[in-house]
Amino acid sequence: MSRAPDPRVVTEAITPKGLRIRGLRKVFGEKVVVADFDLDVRPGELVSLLGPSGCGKTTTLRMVAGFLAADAGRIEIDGSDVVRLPPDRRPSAMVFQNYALWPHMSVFKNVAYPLKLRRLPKAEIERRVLGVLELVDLAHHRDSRPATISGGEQQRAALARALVQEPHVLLLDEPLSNLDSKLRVKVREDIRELQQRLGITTVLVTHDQDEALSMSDRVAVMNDGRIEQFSAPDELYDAPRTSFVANFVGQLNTLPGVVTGGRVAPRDGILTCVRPEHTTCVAPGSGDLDGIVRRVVPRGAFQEVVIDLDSSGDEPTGGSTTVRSMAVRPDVSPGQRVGLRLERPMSFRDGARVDSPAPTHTPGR
Amino acid sequence: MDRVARTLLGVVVAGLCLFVFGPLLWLGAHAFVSNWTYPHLLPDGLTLRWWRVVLDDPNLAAAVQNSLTFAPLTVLASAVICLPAAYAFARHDFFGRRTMLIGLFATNAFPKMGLFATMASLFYALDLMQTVLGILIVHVIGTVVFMTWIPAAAFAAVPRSLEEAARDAGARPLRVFFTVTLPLALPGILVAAIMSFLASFDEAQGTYLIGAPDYMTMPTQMYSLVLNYPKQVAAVFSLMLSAPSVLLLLLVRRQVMGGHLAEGFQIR
Repeated sequence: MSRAPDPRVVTEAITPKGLRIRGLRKVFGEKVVVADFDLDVRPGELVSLLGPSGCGKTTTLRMVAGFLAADAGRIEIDGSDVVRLPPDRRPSAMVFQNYALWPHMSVFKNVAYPLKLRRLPKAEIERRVLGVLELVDLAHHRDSRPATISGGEQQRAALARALVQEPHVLLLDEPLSNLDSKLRVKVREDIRELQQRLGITTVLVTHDQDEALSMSDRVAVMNDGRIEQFSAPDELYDAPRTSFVANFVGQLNTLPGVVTGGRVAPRDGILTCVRPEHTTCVAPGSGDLDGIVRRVVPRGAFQEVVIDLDSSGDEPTGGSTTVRSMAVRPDVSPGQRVGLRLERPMSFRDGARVDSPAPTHTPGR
Repeated sequence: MDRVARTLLGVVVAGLCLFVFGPLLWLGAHAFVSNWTYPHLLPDGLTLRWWRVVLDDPNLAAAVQNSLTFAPLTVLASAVICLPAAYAFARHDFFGRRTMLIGLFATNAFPKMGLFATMASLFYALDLMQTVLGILIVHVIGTVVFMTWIPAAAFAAVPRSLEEAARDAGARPLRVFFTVTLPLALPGILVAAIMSFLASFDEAQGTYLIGAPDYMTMPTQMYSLVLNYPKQVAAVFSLMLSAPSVLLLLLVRRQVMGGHLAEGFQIR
């Protein structure tokens, strides 16, 4: 995909090589927070680090920014290793979770600060700051103090302060977590559009799967300081390689065994997983399993049907005998017997995928 | 019931007002009356004579001048010594940090006079009696607790991410301090400076012991005033002594009350 550089932000002539992390490691006391972490972010690509709190994603980002010293490993930005440089000498710029705007400076002064440090001529600072403020649609607030503008505007001011530095790598630390849910959807689209238009290599840290899936070129799902899977969003959802990824990205019905002959039979620790939207209610006896509807939960655009499976007689070994089905206006009511058709099942043993992931329809990107 | 409570509240408020403003009124009145003694209910007359007495007395004028010199000098010296310590207490975790922080209170824990007497014997040995430096040391010691604890709290209240953002933008540590940390901690530092100024301005015991009779300040001069002058002169001098306190407190009232530190920063 070719991206015309935005004329309002002039990027230095460099051979972009993106971000390359090799063998990154961080230990706090006894706990290994980031363990032998490798990551490649291609130039102009937006990569998300997605994971639960404590998985090491923020620690990784802070090591890339330079706020934390790595215990081992290399961090290469456009070909040069920055791992020993202090944050002020790294060509990265960060948007903080709480925006970290300086309350005693106007929006203009906040954005101009990085340029003033570079001793640029006053006229050029003015031109570039106004350019980037226009880019984030904040020119009318140039003289406002951060306290007097809304959360979304503060977020854009923080983004402007990062963009004005023309970073080789833009780092976003949970940039949407302080916004309300309506605004979040709009802002994430704005950020993505801007990032693609400017072609900035970007790393985004988030615990919100919607945010990661909707904004990224590729997503690295992290667990216990390691990358579980690094894939494009659709592939991550359709073909998870571990049960952790399958569970963390999207919802999942986990059955304690293998579905065969109308029942769930245990077989050497295998768990069968099916997404709720691939679990369909049909007439009793005509599906893969039978059960009784416990509840129908309205979710607005669709309904969630909670079904108790007929007991197979065996003690479940992990997993659950309650499944959820997502459907638009299903014709069922609590207490009713239904059959269930399971499509695109996935099998895991000890957290790892044991069947071959189904081929995915990855749209051309 | 409601009426009783209200009446009671009124009585308490009136009593409190009398308690706070009564002595001030008495003082204020005496500064402008020619003579007001028992059994006369009202003063004999009004006069500005006592103000002239104070302003014309070379001893008193010197005391005013000394006080107005020592107080700013004390604040300056105290700031130079204590502010770096305050920053260290706020931002670094070093060996003995807590012990030293509590230890600062030691200067306030002992009976003042005993401390000064011991210091005086030390000062004789060091030739610091009757010197500007000696008085300055005594004054600075009285301000160490304010000048360390309040700015330390102010520095600690500056969110680290604001400093990190400045580092990220390309600023070296020293510039981060002067462009981000210091401006944001300034209200707290200002309050500490005012309190130090007032503490120095009011310091009497130590100054008397170390400085008298060569260096007399307004509070030390008060001792002889109360004994040797008419009480109207003491009243005038008291008013002059309290003027800087009132002025300074009015000046920084907004800083103390407002606390613009949290402004613009999302503390959740």
